[in-house]
This record gives sequence, structure tokens and C-alpha cells, in this order.
Amino acid sequence: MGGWVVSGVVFGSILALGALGCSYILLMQNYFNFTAAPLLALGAYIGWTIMRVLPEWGGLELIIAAIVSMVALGIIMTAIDKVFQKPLRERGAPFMFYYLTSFGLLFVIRSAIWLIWGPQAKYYYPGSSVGITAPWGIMVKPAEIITLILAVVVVAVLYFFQYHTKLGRGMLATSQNSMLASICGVEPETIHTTTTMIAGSVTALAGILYGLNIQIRPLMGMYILAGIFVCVVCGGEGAILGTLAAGYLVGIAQEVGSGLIQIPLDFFGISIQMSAYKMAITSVLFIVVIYLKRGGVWKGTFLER
Amino acid sequence: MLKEEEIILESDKITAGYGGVDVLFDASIKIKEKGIIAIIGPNGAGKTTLLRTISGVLSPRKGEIIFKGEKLNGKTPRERLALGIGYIPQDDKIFPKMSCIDNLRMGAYTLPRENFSEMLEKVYQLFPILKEKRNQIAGQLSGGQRQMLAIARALMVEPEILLLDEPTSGLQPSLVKEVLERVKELHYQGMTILIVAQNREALEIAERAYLIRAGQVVLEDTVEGLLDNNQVIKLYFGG
Repeated sequence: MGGWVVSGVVFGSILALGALGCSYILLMQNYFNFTAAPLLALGAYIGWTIMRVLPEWGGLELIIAAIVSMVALGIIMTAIDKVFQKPLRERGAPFMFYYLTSFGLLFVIRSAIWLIWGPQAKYYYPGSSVGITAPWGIMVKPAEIITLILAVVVVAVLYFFQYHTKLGRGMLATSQNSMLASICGVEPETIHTTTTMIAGSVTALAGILYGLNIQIRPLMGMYILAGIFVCVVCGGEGAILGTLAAGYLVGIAQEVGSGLIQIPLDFFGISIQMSAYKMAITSVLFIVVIYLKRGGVWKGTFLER
Repeated sequence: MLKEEEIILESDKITAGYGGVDVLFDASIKIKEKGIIAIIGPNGAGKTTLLRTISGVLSPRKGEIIFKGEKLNGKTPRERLALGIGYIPQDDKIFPKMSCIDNLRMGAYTLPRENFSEMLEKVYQLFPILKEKRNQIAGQLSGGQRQMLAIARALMVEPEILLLDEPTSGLQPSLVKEVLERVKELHYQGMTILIVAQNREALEIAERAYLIRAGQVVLEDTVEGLLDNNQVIKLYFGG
């Protein structure tokens, strides 16, 4: 049980980072960014490619790869925004145009990844699965510890940036009333660029941590997109701490839920592996949350708009 | 007639609109430095569009906006704010999910951090209620308090001219008087005011007024002259 909870919190941390990237886009530009799924994979692949170039420096190569990938994906996401979404903003296009553009780009980026890196799974450190025994006999891998710490650090940094810096306040103001924000002197394009840079960076980090804990595959982002969506809705627009908590909730629900359901299945000899149906648990959780708490779990969610 | 050197802001034959539709046609107005000018007219006449064009939120299709002899066409709202043009829209004039103090911080967005406390004290002197409510979420304030917060927000950068779009809209009569008193106070302190007036009380605080109808400036007169014009008063302020 303890192992499931640890796995859940680790997976939840990755979901939360992916969700934060989507939250920022939803907060500022009012659409759910489907391209987060292939971009998360792209971030992981960029990191993997950098690591192939660098020699082994006792983990330093991973840090360098992660930083390069975060910057690169920030720039890529900003470029996508300027080329595809900015013209829509300037035309005052209906929100559905943003969704369709984002959905179309999902397939383009996914295909490009497939074409460049192929369908085979890749690993940052092939064959490394040595764990540390924590209290209560729980086995924890170094990658899991790195993930837990990084997620908390990134959330803390983003929280400080959002609520204690001028630019962060400008972002919140623009999300509430973009015309009034511009009257106050906020430059909308600066805000959009900052948003996409942050969103790209955290998405890349989510991809790298997913690759570090599980594996790198072209469809890795697609597998967790539903979980990210649930975190965004439950965690809330701009509710940075809420998104992390939602990530933990979804991650633990998936791991503990699938583990608990597996016990009676094994007992009755039913040959179903619940690990393959974790997304179904996320979907059920989403429906339950929406049904029981229409305003979302935390205050200030999208659903309160 | 206004002398050229007295004019602080001028809209010269402005045509503006939204999407493919023009709302304002060749609208020209002139505002005297330290003056207080009202704009009146029916709903949909183009009053808000004129203020939006002056503030830079909307780009004119034709015509020029001139502020202190400098053309404003092509300048962003931020650049116009830096030149001294403050704008308080009619609707959505505050950030409802932010606290009062954060709204005022947004007002001071372009100010250096070290000037914030000084400006905050100045607006608190003008609106003491905002000091009491500083940590309250702005969306929970009453209509009058919201309007005061909106004015205070605009005053954080000490603009030379303040554009007020129907500042007394939706307020109860006692609050209308209070808000207009504050506007008059700002005028006495030397601020130029352009106010969209939707009631007689708001018109009465002005020196001159323009009547806009169907996107065109159809009349310019002193406020006394307009108040003597029974037809105008009956049509726009109900007698």
C-alpha cells in the first residue's frame, strides 16, 4: 500500500507539472492546449538527444539536458503561439478555432516525433532500477525522489512568481480582464510570451521526469493527457498549489485504485491487469468530482467562471 | 473658441468601430487643459468608442488623436498612460478576484516600486474607505466602492487627463453625489477630466459638453447652454 502511495505521488507530481503548463495556457488564452501531449513527449526526446551527446558526468548530464530541453520547448511553444494562435487573437476568432488549431497541431507534432525518433521506447539510464529502502519497507528509486523534490520546488517558484512579482500579477490581471490590464500598462504580448515560455518549460520537465521514471515513447503524452485534464479542472485556473494537490489526488487514486481492484481480480482468477486501465480510474474520478463538486475541488477553478 | 495653446487633447475627425462596422464617424472634440468636458448622447451613440480610441484600446480607422501636440496614433495604451492619459471604463473597471490593494498595485504597474507607497497614501487620503478595505476582494465591494477603487486605480500614476466612462452608472443617488464630488475635487486639483455623462448631475459638473448622436458629434456648447436646451435635456435626461 505504501508503495502504491509513493508511486501515486510520483506520478501525480508529473501530472501536476503537465497540468500547470496547460493551466497557464487556459488561464491566459482560454483554451485547453491539446498539444501539451506531444510537446511533453518532445521535451523528453530533446532531453534524451542532449544526453546522448554529453558524456556521463554523474547526473550532471541529466541536469544540463533538462535545462536545454526546458528552454527549447519554451521557445518552440512560444513560436507555435506566435505563428498559429496570435493571428487568431488578433482577429478575435471564436474559441473553437483555438481548439481546432491545437488539436490539428497535436497530430503534426506527434507525427514529427515518430518520424525523427521512431516508435521504440527509449531510456535516459537503460537498466537502472536500483532503489533505496525507505521506512516501512517502501522501495523508492532515485528518480522518484528527484521527481518529488523537483515538482515541489517548481511549484514553489511558480507560486512566488505568480503572486509576488509584477509580471505574475500582470498575468493574473490579464486573465481576469485583458482590456483593463492593458489600460494599466500591461503589454499583452509580453504576457503571452511569458506564459508560453513557462508552459513550455514545465511541460518539458514533466516529459523528462516521465521518461526518467517510466520510459520515453512517442505517445507518452497521450497516455497521461486525460490525467492532466482532470488535474487542470480540479486544481484550478492559476491555482498553482491546487494543481499540485490535484496531481497527487489523481496519481494516488490511479495507483491505489488499480492496486486495490487487482486484489479481488487475482483472488477470483480473472486475468485482467488493472495497470492497463488506470486511465479509466482517472475518468471515473473526473466524473465523480464533476458530479459532486461542480465548482471543482479547489476555489478559483475554471468551472467557477 | 479655444486657443490652440490651451488644448491638451484633440480628436480630429476620428472614425472607429468594431469588426467591419464603424460606430464613430469623423468625431472631433477638443479639451482644454485643466478643463472638465462632458460627452452626452443616447446608448450606442459612440461615446465609449471615442474614449476607447483616445485611451488606445481601440485603433481609429481614420483621423488623429493629438495629446499635447503629439500624435497618439499607433501608440499602445501603456505608452498613452506614460504620457498621462488615464482611463476608467464603464463596465469591468476593477479586477474582481484581486484584493483592493492588488487592484491599486495594478494601477501602479508602470510605476517604479519605490513610488508605490507614496502614491498609495495619496489615494488613501482621497478614498479612506479603500484603506479599510485594502485586503477585501474587490468583487465583494459595493457599487460605489468599486467606482472609487476604479478611480483610485487610475490615479496611482497621476494622469494629466482622466477619461471617465459613465462613472455614476448603476449607483444609488447618494453615491452618485459622492463620486461626482471626488471627480470635482480632482478637477480642482488641476486634473483635466473627460466624462461621459448619462445623468444631469454628471453633466452639471462639466464646463462644456459635446452631444454625440449616431456616431457623430452634433452639438458643442457650454453646460449652461445645454441645460437651457429643453429638447436636449428632455431627450437625454428625461426632462
